[in-house]
Amino acid sequence: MIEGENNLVDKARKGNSEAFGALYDYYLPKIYRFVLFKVSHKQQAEDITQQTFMKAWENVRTYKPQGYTFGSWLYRIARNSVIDYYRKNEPQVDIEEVSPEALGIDSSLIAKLEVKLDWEKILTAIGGLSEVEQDVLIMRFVEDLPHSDVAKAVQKSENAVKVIQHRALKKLKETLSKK
Amino acid sequence: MKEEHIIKQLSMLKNIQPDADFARSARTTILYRSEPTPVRFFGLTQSLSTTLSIGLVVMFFVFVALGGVATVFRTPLSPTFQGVDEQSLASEAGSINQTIDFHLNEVAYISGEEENALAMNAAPNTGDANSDKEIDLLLTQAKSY
Repeated sequence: MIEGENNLVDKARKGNSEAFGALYDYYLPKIYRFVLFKVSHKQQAEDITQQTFMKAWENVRTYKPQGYTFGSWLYRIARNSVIDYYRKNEPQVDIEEVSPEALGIDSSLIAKLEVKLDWEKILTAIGGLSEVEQDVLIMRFVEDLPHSDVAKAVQKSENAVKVIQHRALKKLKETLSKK
Repeated sequence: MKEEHIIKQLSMLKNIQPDADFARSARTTILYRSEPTPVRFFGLTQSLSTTLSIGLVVMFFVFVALGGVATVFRTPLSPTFQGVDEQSLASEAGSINQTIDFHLNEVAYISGEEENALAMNAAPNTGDANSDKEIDLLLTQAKSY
């Protein structure tokens, strides 16, 4: 959560574009990564991310904190945008497209990884999980969101999120062990 | 592969950053080519859509209560109950009409006879009148004697 987020959100709700711009700068990488792992395509991820922030800006006046963060609200819009995208377009993800290069991931980052193969295997294995399992894993372990925020974003209870997380990790482990 | 290793790999994915040019152009597009929808307008559209939805549901229930599609396509002369044979109903109605006509004719005939009888009774008896004249004449003659 960005420092002074509540204040920025209040200003954004009053139509202050600078305040929304600050929220955009903070949340863009998070939402982009979330969408990228869901669609496994750089160009599509950029389109859906832009659409997500466009919807958020147009509807920011309707956002009511009510116990969950602005970030959870954004993730929820992103999830719906991905669902809408798949409803209109058939998912066409090739194993080759899942490679870090195809995703537009910096080569210096790939070099940091212990084994490049692990990276590709993990991305492919994540693609084999259900939508909600992917959401929970990405939000929990990539974005380090607390269970409560993940629960709000996926519209489930915290206990349900813990169960989904456990199940998703188990599946991922099994899939990776087979390869 | 251990669970810890998977989590470590996943956490490294947070180093992925969107393209800087994309981030800049998207920011401009979002903030300067669109604007937040006014709450009043949002509320109005919400209330209109809610009213419309309620109206449609009420109309649907009224439609179902009135008999649905069968009522809409029914002609005014169609039988009220489905499954009733129209031809048998028509012939039955025809025979009832005939019976009524027959009884009406009978009533007309009987009432005509009664009228004739009354007319007969009401008509002046010319025979009796003549006999009265004869009696008067005889009485007159007797007085003259």
